[in-house]
Amino acid sequence: MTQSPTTNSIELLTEKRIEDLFKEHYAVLTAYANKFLTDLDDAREIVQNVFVQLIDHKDTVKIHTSAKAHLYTSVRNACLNVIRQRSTHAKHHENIKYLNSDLGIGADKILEQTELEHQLYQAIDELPEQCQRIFKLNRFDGFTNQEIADQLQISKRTVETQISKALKTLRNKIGPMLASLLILWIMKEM
Amino acid sequence: MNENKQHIDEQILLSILNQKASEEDVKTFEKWMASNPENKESFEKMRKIWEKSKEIEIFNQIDVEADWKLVKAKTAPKAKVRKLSVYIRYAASIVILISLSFAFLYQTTPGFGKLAQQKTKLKKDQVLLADGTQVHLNQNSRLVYPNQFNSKTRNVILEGEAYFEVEKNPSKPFIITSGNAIIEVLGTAFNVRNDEKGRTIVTVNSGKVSLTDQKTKKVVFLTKGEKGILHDSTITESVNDEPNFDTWKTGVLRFRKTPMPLVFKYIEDYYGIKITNKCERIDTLNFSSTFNNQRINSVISELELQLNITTVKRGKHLIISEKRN
Repeated sequence: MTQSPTTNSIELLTEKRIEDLFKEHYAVLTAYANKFLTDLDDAREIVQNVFVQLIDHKDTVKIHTSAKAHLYTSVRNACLNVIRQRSTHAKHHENIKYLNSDLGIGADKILEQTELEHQLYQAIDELPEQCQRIFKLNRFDGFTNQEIADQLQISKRTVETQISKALKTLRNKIGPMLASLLILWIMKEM
Repeated sequence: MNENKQHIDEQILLSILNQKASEEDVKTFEKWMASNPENKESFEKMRKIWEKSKEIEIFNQIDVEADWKLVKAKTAPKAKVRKLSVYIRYAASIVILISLSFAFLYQTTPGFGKLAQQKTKLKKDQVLLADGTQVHLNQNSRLVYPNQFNSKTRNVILEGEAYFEVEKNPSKPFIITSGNAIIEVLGTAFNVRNDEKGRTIVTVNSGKVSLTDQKTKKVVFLTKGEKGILHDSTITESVNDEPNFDTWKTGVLRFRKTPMPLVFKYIEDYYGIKITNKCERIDTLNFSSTFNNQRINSVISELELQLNITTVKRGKHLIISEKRN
């Protein structure tokens, strides 16, 4: 993974630099915003607008922290504005729970989780082709092992073996990070 | 020996995760977990990955390249600055025009008072009407509707395509005017589409719907699983043979032994691409697969794998040819 240059001094923004920032952070920023807004299209629009603002004002924007921190703060504030503007529906109470009064800490934890999730996603993307396909059909699309076996014309046993293999590979790859990976959203099911 | 205890059939672990383990397997598992703290740690990691992977499907739906293009499209071009005096000159005549038109506009134009409208361009959208009816609008569509349903019927106007989930109200029929068609509904879920050929196509998911030609007043009744097409005052009724009529809304593309030419058509429609097939062999084949909100690249990979073909994609054009081994 390439590290973007961190700057503690005032950063000069060019459209190319903004494009690089976009390509590096957009996926995580959007998944992060989605946790507040629970609607992917809304989240995409919020994050895109943050970048649009950045481009429109690139000559006057002064970034005093790192570019990454600036982006996350902008996205978080934009999400909060949206949530405040909307009338209080039940579903937003769930999300406001995560934005407790000491706003900085709660949101940082969510950000950390989103980054870990993205790393898991990228690790899945690096699995060997067939293994990856089977794992995604199971975990992303929700097909049963039998359905996957039928679709791909292989045995159910092969499907199960591939999934075990995927889990082992993923565990080895991102094992160290897993200690801090929380299963916040699943706890209510247990 | 400790080595024995370290090893457990991985399928048992998988069945524990799937909550489908037999009593015997559970006992084996618990023994294995207790025998060595490393086992417990190892399993915990697998469990976390297992649970978490279900939550991260969202990354699959984020197309960074495409959304960067959207960002560029939204950035402002340089604005022109006009002299103030030019505006003042026209002010008087504008004021008169406005007051004369206001009453007329209130009654007839969406957005001014009685009527509202919802319009979509590149993005799909959704409207909740005053009676609880949900309307899902596809791209490039427009729905005109009253803020309140005060008359004896609930009337709306549709241009383009939408999926309706109409709130049941037997005493107040729901009437949609679309193209040359009048569609009357009691309480049901169905799709209305106006296509480039000037046809209005109604596909019913549940409930009962009547489709009337405005010109000749000819009527047909459609129920679940049926489709009616109005074209030039002719209405054809048939069983819905299009499993993918609501893909634009659900994002799910379903192929069950579907002939290839039809598969191409659905993929072209949904992803907005053009497919050129140079491989005659596959024209007569059938294809089965289900794509749930997948990006085009996943679909292409699946086609390549199942049909043993090679593809080249240039922008929005996909070219298929025989795979050379």
